[in-house]
Amino acid sequence: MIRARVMTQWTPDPVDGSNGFQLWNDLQAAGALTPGDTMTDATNQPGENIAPNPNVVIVEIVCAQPAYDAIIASPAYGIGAVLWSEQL
Amino acid sequence: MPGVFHTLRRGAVRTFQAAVAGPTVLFYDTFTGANGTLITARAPDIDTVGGGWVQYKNAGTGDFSISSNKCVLSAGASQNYLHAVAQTNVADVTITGDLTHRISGASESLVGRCVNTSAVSLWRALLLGGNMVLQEANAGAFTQRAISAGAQDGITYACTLAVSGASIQFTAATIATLSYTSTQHQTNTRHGILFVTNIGGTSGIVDDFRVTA
Repeated sequence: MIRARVMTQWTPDPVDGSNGFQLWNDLQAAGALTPGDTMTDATNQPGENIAPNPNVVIVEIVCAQPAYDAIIASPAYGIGAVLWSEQL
Repeated sequence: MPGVFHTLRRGAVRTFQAAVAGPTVLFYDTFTGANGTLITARAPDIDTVGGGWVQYKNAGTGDFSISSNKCVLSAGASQNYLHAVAQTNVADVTITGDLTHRISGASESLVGRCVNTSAVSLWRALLLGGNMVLQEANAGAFTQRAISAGAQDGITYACTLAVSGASIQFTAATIATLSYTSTQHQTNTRHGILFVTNIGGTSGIVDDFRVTA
């Protein structure tokens, strides 16, 4: 498993419209998630201030290799979106 | 090993380990009743404060009712989006329930620290679209705080939403535990369930709902 902090954006969840993580939706659409992969808001941004301009949120992802590989390979993210990562 | 005396041979020391008190059950509902009974129309198994369930319709016309001794939300001609809460007078609690997930057209959740019975300001631990999600709601605006993959359609998960101080933790057995830190809604003492059933969707199910402190 890998733990990483990654920059992404708030976006409406496609199912219930809640403010969600764009990165999670992208990984799910790409089929890159493994059961047990988790993503957590690392900013503690007040809900009243979502989404601000500019719209940026930092998430902490704990995931299996496929999700991390998908982040690195994605032109929307890539290594530049990863603040740090570690092998667990 | 609670309450056990150890008696040894002459000259030996006899010790006693006091029984450890278990958690106090504040509210408990097994949803036992005739099919179609509204959960608000009957007394739960344990209700230390009294008052039972108070239901609030955020959208739609459905109601929480009993089906095969479990709680469901009826499907309707429009989206049914309801929550029901019980007053416990305690903010730091562990909320447990068995949630059966419906990926398509529904979501089901335990909710904690609801600000009052009529506003959707609370913590929500839900199963949604194959994910388990921890959401913060403020006046009806929902924000994901943590999410994990792996919830399957039709499967029943033993779920726990534990709120203690600023610690918010959602566990769905066999999937994951999501943790978050926030003081939002920290002193609210109503806890319960929140379901959504879309047009044509099949309701999720909750059973053995319990609040302990």
